[in-house]
Amino acid sequence: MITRRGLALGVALALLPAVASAQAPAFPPDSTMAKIAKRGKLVAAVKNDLPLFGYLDPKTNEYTGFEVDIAREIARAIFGDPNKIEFKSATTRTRIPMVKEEVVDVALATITMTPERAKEVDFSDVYFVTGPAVGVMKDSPMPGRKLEDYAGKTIAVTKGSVYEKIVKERVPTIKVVQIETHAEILQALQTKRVDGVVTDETNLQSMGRHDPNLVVAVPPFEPYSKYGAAMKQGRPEFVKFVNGVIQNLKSSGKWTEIYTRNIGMAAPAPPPAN
Amino acid sequence: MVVDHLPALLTGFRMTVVLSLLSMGLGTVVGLVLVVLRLAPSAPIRGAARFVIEFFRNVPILIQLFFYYYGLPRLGVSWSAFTCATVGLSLYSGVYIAEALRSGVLAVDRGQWDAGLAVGLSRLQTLGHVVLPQAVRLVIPPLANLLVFTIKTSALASAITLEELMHVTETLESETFRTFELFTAAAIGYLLLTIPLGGAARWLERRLVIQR
Repeated sequence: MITRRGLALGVALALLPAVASAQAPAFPPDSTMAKIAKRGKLVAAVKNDLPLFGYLDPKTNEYTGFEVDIAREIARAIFGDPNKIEFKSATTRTRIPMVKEEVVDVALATITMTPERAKEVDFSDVYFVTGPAVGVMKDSPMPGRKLEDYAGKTIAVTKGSVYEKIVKERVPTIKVVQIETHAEILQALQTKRVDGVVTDETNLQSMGRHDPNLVVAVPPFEPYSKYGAAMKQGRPEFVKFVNGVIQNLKSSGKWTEIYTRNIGMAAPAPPPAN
Repeated sequence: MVVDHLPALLTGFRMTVVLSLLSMGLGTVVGLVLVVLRLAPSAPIRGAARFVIEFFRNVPILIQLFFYYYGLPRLGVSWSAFTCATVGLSLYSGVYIAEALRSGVLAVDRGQWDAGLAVGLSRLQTLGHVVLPQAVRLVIPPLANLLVFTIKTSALASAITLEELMHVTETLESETFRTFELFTAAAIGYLLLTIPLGGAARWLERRLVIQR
């Protein structure tokens, strides 16, 4: 058994240089891309509960979504094969530690770029722009169309989201409750634990896929969220490489295709790099 | 620096202390009641107690907490996060305490029952006045374990938005990214509670244990 496995490994190793030279571009030996190529797969953190962006489909056990497809394009750029990728589920709270602790090579997990986060990880160019909005259940009282109208109400945000601070600063009397995942926030809304949720508008759309009763009560407001891919600091060559992939997607029309496929609306023009 | 977040951490610590103490107290009451029922002469009562114990012992506490917090409101009962956590932890540790006490009761010599009944005590009186006091002395180490376990399990209440030590630590972590420092501080917070409890248990054990 062991010898057979050893044999298979030997054959695989012998074939590896040929395969590598046939498909993958040559990377500088010490670069992150070379290390990923040697490992044989890219490891990416994505969300698992947001159907539009990162979703682990319980029926197929496959990850789907906009960010999943972008991550696959990064794998394609390294290996010539979008399937040489391993996804790991991240929550809002765990995604940046996962990058810092090298659990993953890159995180594409609805991460709004902020100066605080940029101290912890390096970001790619912007690949998506959305904005915070308030979502409520259709059958619950909708206090108004402005965040200020929610004074005294209970609003859920994901643990680790930028919106805890933003909501508290703008309307200090809102009671902010931090909940681990968007899926649990939906439970909290359905059971009237909270009056509303503040998250990116696209996340509300994702949640709306699970429960059509969730509606946008306050349309997106500033500051808008620019999503970037997060990578461990000190790897400028990898950031440059990922930026190259993103730029290519935007200029080739592939970004638009991925947008339409996952978000299901007419795609806007791809966002500028920053 | 972690020091800057000390006030927030202390607020969480206080909540952990309150939740743990309350759950340990109520859990002990639950344990005592269940062990009496579990040893009742009536088979249906014994069976019911056994069912309750097995149910709460074998369903993960996180599921129980989610059920109280997100499930019960669908049935028209909406408890606060604190109530959900207290009820959940008390029942969860209570059934374990009941089983620990039962093992103590079973270890007490059969002759003690006979003696109690022979002097005219009822079954319940014999259990309460003769057997249980001896049983408790036998099971102080596992009981202390269970109280420590209750304190540690209280961290799961963070999942249902209760702002105890774990929840505060996670919130601060996501704001500051000082993962290592903050979780170390939280660990120290739990140790401040659990180590003295372990020490107290050892002291009690030395004082009360039946020398054989």
